[in-house]
Amino acid sequence: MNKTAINPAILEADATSSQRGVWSGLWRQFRSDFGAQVGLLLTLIIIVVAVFADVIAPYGPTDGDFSSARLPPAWVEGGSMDHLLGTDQLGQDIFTRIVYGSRVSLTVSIFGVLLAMSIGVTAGMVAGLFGGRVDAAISAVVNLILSVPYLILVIVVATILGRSLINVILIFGVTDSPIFARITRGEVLRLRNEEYVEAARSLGANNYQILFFHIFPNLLRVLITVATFEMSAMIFYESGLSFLGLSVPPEVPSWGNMLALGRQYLTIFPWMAIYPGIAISITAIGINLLGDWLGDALDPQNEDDA
Amino acid sequence: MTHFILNRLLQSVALLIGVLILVFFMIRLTGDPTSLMVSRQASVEEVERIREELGFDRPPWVQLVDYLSDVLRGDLGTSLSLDQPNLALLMERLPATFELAIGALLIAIVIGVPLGIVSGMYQNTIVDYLARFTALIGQTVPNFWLAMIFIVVFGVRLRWFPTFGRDGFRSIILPAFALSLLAMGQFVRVARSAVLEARRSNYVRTAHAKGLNPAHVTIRHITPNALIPLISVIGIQFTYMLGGSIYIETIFSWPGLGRLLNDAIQNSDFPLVQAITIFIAIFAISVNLLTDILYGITDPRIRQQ
Repeated sequence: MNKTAINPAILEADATSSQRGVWSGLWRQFRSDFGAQVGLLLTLIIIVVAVFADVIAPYGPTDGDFSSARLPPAWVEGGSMDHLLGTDQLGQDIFTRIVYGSRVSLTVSIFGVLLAMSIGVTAGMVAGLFGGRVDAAISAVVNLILSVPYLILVIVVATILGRSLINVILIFGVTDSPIFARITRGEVLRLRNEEYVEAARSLGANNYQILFFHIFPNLLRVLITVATFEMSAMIFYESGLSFLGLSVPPEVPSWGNMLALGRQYLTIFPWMAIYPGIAISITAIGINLLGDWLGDALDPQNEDDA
Repeated sequence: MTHFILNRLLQSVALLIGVLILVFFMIRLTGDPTSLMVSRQASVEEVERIREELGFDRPPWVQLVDYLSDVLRGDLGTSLSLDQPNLALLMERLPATFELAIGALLIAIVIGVPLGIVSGMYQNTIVDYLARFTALIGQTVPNFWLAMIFIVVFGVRLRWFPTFGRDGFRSIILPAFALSLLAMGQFVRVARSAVLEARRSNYVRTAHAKGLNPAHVTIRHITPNALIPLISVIGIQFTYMLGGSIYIETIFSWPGLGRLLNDAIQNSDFPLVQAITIFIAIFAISVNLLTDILYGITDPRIRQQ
């Protein structure tokens, strides 16, 4: 490889054009991608609902009135406009509980992913940069955790720790971190041998400069996409844990808790299970479409085509 | 080839022992493993007696060695709620779960793989959008919710299929279909991207340049190469189904491993939960080993790594 003929000005120009490329690439993809538009819209709606739950919901999350228990949705015979999506067996408004349930799903997925990312990226970087025995040890733990089917792993830890919001976030944060560790390690190993990193090194950049100015920005492109998909997966898994009675306590309005309750009355009052499931699906689909968009737009290979 | 198989076998054994040690440590996360192993009504004396009986008062490394030798000899402990050896309970329930998982896998392959291949061949057409939508639904909509919708629509309203129990061919259709959706979505995605990649490759370009019939290129050149990555995905999805069966079997009252696990959780029967976890982990490692070997046979490049 020719290390002598590199002009630093060219490298810098390259770096800034690639920064601009990220934003314009995102926008270009967004304009032509129907899925991306739907995904962003759905995600924004869910975030607004979670943040302004107190304003949007007509009742409190645990307000129950036995005289209006088991009402069907408003448009079904016997339903009332006071309870748009009907009520459960305690007379709690289903629409209200779905609105508040968005908070549990988003809290778990956002903090779960942040924790998983912090642990995983650190471990992956250490493994990729130090190599040798450190890498072997970290990779062994990563492979070990990933060899157990994820759902089973989460279930058994949840059974041991017991149900609370903090525990659920901890469980997802720890069990999901190997994914981030594996991806980070792979990217660090790949980027370390890229020409521009070698160029920077030959220009006298030290390890930390290379890490933060050259490897980390590129890593971020991959991580943002993965984090988005993992968020959608965590919403899915949290509702699953709730459904088994292993997530937040039963009185907390979460979509999975509502589904678990709805199952007991499935054949007589099906609306108790139908609407929370629609909420889970819409949220997971929205965030997933967002991930597809980010993945396409942030992939450097696609940028070359455009 | 023998060297490759032997190498992978040794790795799997190491992984297996690693998983057992992982479970050993997880049980001790809360400090006192005894509390997990006794029923909630147990008195203080009873807890002490069981602590001694299970050897939790001994040094940790003695416990670890003892536990490993127990598991490797096939002793997975005794169920608290059913008062029977866990292994016997597992074996009794296993055929039902295999039946369900194999049914689901067949549905997922038969629908997912052709859909993915066609979707990759006709990129950005209506078929492609339909396939990608199927994949999206399969991977985002909770299958335990869809299972309940199936019960309401096809069981209660239309009365086409029974909604609970394991009683003949008609009873497996709804649960197997519900269990297949996640895998189906993944098969569509993997088959589609493999076809897209194959279509861009040099050997396909060469085949087209030679003037071969496009249908011939699709069947003889693109499809076989697109099927290779599916081998490992199919293996992984099968092991996921054993975990996913906890929802589907509970909802459809299917008498398999998943329902046993849910019963164990609801009854705070931790020894049984632990036994099922160990069993599924061992099973997953074995399936991985098998798919790796198959992969090595079909793709010579893998063997060289």
